[in-house]
Amino acid sequence: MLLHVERPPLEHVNDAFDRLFLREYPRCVAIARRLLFDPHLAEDVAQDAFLEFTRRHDADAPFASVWLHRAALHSAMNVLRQNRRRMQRERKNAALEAPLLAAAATFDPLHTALRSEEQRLVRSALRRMSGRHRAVLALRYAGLSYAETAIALGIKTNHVGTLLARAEAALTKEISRVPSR
Amino acid sequence: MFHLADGELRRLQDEPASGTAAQRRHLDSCRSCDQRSALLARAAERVRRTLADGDEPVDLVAARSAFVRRLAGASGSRSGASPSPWTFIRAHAAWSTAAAVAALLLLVALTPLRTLATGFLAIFEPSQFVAVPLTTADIEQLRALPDLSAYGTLRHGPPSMHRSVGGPGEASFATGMAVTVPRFIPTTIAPQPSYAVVGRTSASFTFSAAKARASAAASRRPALAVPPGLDGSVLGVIMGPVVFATYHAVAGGRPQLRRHRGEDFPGLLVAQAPVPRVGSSGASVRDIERYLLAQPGVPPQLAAEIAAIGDPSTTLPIPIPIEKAYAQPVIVAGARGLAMGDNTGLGSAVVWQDRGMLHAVAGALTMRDVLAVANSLETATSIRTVPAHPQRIRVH
Repeated sequence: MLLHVERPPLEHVNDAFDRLFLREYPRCVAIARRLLFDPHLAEDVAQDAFLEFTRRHDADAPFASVWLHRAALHSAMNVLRQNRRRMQRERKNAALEAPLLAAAATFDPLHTALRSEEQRLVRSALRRMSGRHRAVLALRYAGLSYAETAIALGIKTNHVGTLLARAEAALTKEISRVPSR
Repeated sequence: MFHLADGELRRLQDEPASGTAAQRRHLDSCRSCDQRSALLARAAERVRRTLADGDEPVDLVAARSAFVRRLAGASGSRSGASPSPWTFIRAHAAWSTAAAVAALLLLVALTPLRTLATGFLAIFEPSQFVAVPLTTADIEQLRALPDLSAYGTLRHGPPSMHRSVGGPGEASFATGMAVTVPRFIPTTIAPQPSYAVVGRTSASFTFSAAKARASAAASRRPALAVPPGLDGSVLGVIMGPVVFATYHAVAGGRPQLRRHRGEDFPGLLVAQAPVPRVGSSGASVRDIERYLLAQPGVPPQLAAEIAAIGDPSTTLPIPIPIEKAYAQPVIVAGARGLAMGDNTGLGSAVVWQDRGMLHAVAGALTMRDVLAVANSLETATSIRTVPAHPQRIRVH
């Protein structure tokens, strides 16, 4: 992790691939991170998406951004599905609910514990939500506009607000419930 | 008008421009919609805090590097260690007179504020270079001059990044510059360079008449009156980013250098950076020049030579210790530059400016080889993605 990496202004980057990477890689990571809650897994997902895209398409393809958003979303959802069995085991065993966000840990043990617990609650709440609600939250809170979110989800832009409001209400409600183990 | 739907209210919070004028008017006048909007905003804020937790910035340069390695099918670690360019400069400065010239060149060319400290000029976007001969006595006199803190306050900007990168493509990505690479490398130099980048940095300097008077009194120097326009004037300097490519000398290289180096001793440095820019809140370059050159301790001959430079706002004076080195104007790739070499032929350097980019090539090489390297620079290509032809993907 590097907090103070200087990013070149996008307009100074001439290469089509670099422009695409600079613009979309952080957003792909952000999408995956909001589904997986694991920075390393999220980077793996973003790397896979870019690798697959690069093998198939030109960097200046007009659909590049949309392709990458969808790839990151679906890939992260796949990882979630693959891990479902493991997570079910984790729910039965509190000892296995260790913090996944090691990189985000601070040196304050109490703070770390509270944060881990909160993240566990959020992950638990998200797991109980529908895939569509999880997806709209991941895309929108990764920084995609309503129009981009709509394209990635294959819905009309006007419907994003409705879906988002419902997803936010559902997550708020789920978090406030005692998580089932 | 009907009440606004939750989805419309939610989108108006994030993208106010998306709503129609009628929707906005309704929201301003409808208490029910306003209350629902507030509830939605509270839920959204809670979700935003929840999902943003632990969202550290991504190290894009490292991510791109990892991606390039995966694309190339590399096993992971970068080939070869990447010695810092500073190692190169330090090693040469210690062992080779020639590279001391190169180090001096880089020091002067890339840090114009340092030129202020030694009595030279900070200049605004230099486009040409003039050699200013210095004798050993001149250098001793300049070293005795007080540093910048005697004339005002120097403030540095935020620290910039300094890191090794995997190649010119990654250097270009990290700095936003079109990185040039030489097509010609002398046979005494191994053709695999290591790359490093230093991020943009800035500094400002505020002249202070009071500080200059106090400093002069403390050191019992005659106080030179600070011109009215100079007192309180602020100079801002923006430098970098800089890309360094360091090449090693091959085993069995030049025998004079072999005596002083290990086998991994670097033999060639290629650097590029945007031309440093200096801005002033009041004083002109000529004002600053006149004041600094009049300081007690600045050799009169040197002051006269610098004062004779035509346009100080576009000319960078480069000090050349004439007892150890020489300099001559050259044309590099159609641009005017200055070539320098040490008197024993151990090393050479050339610096030039081309379309706003400052270039420097220095090494334990003959002047002819250094110029050949400089003239062979061309823009590096980066990652090219070609559909259905993965074998044509080019990676640097």
